[in-house]
Amino acid sequence: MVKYYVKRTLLGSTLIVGLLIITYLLVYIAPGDPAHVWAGKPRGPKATEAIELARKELGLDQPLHIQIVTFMIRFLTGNWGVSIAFKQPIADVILRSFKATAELLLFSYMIAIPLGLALGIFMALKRGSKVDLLLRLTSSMFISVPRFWLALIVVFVFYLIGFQSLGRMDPRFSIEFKEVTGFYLLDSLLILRVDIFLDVLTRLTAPSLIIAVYPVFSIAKYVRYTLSERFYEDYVIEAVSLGISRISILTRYALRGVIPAVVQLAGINFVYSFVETTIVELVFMREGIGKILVDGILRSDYPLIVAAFFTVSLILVAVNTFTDILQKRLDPRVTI
Amino acid sequence: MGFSRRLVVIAILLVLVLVVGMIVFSTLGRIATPQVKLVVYAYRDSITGIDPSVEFDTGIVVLGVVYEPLVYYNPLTNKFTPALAKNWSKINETFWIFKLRENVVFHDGTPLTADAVRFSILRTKTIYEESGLGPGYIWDSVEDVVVLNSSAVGLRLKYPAPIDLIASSAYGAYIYSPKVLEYSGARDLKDESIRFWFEKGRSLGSGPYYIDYYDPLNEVRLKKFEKWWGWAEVNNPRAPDLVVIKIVSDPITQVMGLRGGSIHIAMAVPRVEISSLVKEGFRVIKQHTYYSYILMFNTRRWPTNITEFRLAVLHAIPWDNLIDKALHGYGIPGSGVIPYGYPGYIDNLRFEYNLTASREFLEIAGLYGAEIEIEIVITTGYEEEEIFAMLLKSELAKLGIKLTIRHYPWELVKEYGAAVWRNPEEAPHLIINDWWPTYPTPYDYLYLLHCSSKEWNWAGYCSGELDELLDTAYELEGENYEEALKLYEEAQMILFKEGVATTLWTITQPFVVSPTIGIRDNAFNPLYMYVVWFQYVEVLG
Repeated sequence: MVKYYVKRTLLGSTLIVGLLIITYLLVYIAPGDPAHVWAGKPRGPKATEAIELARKELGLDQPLHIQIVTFMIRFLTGNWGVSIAFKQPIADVILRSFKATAELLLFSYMIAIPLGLALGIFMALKRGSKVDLLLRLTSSMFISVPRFWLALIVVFVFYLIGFQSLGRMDPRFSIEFKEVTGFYLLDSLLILRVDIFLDVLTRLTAPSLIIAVYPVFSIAKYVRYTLSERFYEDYVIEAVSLGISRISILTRYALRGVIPAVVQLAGINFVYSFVETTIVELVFMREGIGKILVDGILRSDYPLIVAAFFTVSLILVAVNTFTDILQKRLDPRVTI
Repeated sequence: MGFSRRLVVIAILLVLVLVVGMIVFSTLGRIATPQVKLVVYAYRDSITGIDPSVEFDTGIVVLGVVYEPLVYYNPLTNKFTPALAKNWSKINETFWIFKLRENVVFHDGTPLTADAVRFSILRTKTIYEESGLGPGYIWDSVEDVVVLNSSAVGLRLKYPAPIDLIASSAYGAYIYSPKVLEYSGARDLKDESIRFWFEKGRSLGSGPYYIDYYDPLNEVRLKKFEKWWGWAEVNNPRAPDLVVIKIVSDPITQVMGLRGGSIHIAMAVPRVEISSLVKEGFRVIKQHTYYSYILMFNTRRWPTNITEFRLAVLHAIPWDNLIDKALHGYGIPGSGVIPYGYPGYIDNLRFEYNLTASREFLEIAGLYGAEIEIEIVITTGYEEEEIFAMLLKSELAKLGIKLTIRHYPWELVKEYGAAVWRNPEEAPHLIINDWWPTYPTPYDYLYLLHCSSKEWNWAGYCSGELDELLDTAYELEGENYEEALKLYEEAQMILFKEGVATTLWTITQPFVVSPTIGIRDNAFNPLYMYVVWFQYVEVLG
């Protein structure tokens, strides 16, 4: 296991460093002038001079390989610098947005995994029936429907029934709200404010449901097919003939073999959900990593873009490693 | 109960608990909402900075509320209004005295003094002189700021300049407490730590609101500054206690926010949606701005380097219905380069839609009937530019000219524009430069075509005659303003005759306002683009 951790860490680190270099290169060749942004779109007779000074200050007058080496050394030693476009420490910007995204994603998966499992088991038990067909069609429909469109519909429906789904919290509460961890749901409980908790929860639920759509139905479909196959395996048929109850067969035998793969699937889905979150956050007027990436790219803010990609990559590698380990724990036959 | 049924029940229950819980929570949450007078203003762009001496872009929506200059000026009414200076006078051509208002305190509680004025102006000026950053060039004429006593300050000039106009600039004229040196641990006014101290979301102005929370990508929360000197004058007990400037880049989301009640004032609602919102009870305030879209011709690339060809294109623009089609009526047609209502504006520098004239110009240029392809670069997401380009394309096709439309993000548009100096062939034949003012001088717009303006003169136009007129007029502004305006007029005539650049339109900004919000007339000033002075906003509901 230790060997695995070392191997995985080395692989993950190489992957992330490679990604950082590729990201830097992509930003480098992309149009836009970071020096112009850093200089604050200068006007007047000294505008050109300001841009040249900014270029020097940012080290953009150096050859590309030196830029990359300097940037990587600085970045990997924890000096992420200041955002070119927003002039704030990048670590602060990333952390603030990351917490909002993490809260949304974690809550989505708290809904998605149990719901997907329950739905999948039900479909497997009802396989071949009209209900199964209907659910399968619904799954396919929800998996393919564009999430931004679904998000717009949900916002509209919420508006029609008179509920607030935009933003992270009613701004009125901001006067009394004290941020402790940056996870609003948790913070509202820590400061013992049930009213704020309820408001945050309300606003969190709608976008979470949208993000949960894909993992719910993909998990459900997977569980349905895998369980259906297992129901025809010898050990299940024998257990039925021995008179063991269906619930015991399902939970003790059939499901046990499915769960590790569901964990793996949830891990893979998590990557997809991260991408989806960027769109959903924009529609629901929520802060998050997605907004950082969009704004960073539009404003040639390369340190911010690289830092955001780094954070996302780190999380995805961590999630995949975690799910691999969990899968191994749940199923000793799995080798990693 | 069978297992499968149990599962169904569990799944349904899970969803029901969430939905019902959400409804109950939402209702309870609404009941428990604190009674705070709140205004949420949806703004389109992220905030690029809040250092009052350096910021030169979207940060104005915050700075304009948090800080105050010595004096306000409204070019539409041609009126000065005292701000931090209660009165001012020109002692001679090169010396002005500003007497400061008493009982003004900054957000940290320290009083406004002449030292604060000296510190603020000198920091803005010095940063520009040493690094080119910010709008400090507006103070170029200032030789020194002299503290006469604690409530009077003198501005000694290197050359005559209209200091009252300069002091009313929307950028670079804000006054703040010199205590920032101490708070930021800076050595002197040039120290970068001051800038980063501000950018962390702190304010040291004297305006009616101060920054409570600052996230430049998502939202800025402003709280009412109870010690603001102007509350008694404004007499607005319904002024908001809390203002949220919410960054909502998507126009449709702004509309949804308005309808759902989470946004009270929106500035980027799609123009086609406005009439239906009005029917629903929302109000629209049409605010005049000086935000202009200036069409520039690449004067260094064939065939737009030929004056007659440029004039042919200008006469092919369907001017009569341009505002209705491109802006749904929310704009004023351009005349010359300077926008309507701005100092130096001239009403008769308009081109007419006349394809016969276009053909004649093409014949003079020897280009009539020739197969010509030109390109225009417009900004992605700017619907009005796209409509304009499409209209022009169809008109030019009638003349046998093929127009290729290229869409790029703003940053890239700027890069292509400035390329005219480096490599004219790389720059497009036509490009639209959107421009907004700093302080009210015609030079602010006409400098765009100055030979030394390598970053913004996207026409690549370089004329000694024009440069001399502009520079002379600028220097004359402080001595003989009327004479300076005449020279600016001459400069505009050159640009008009040569068809180098022209303003297509000046935006009339629609602010869509919730029925629960009242807005007094003086909540806007066209120099302060997109700034809402919330002290004049009333929370009715």
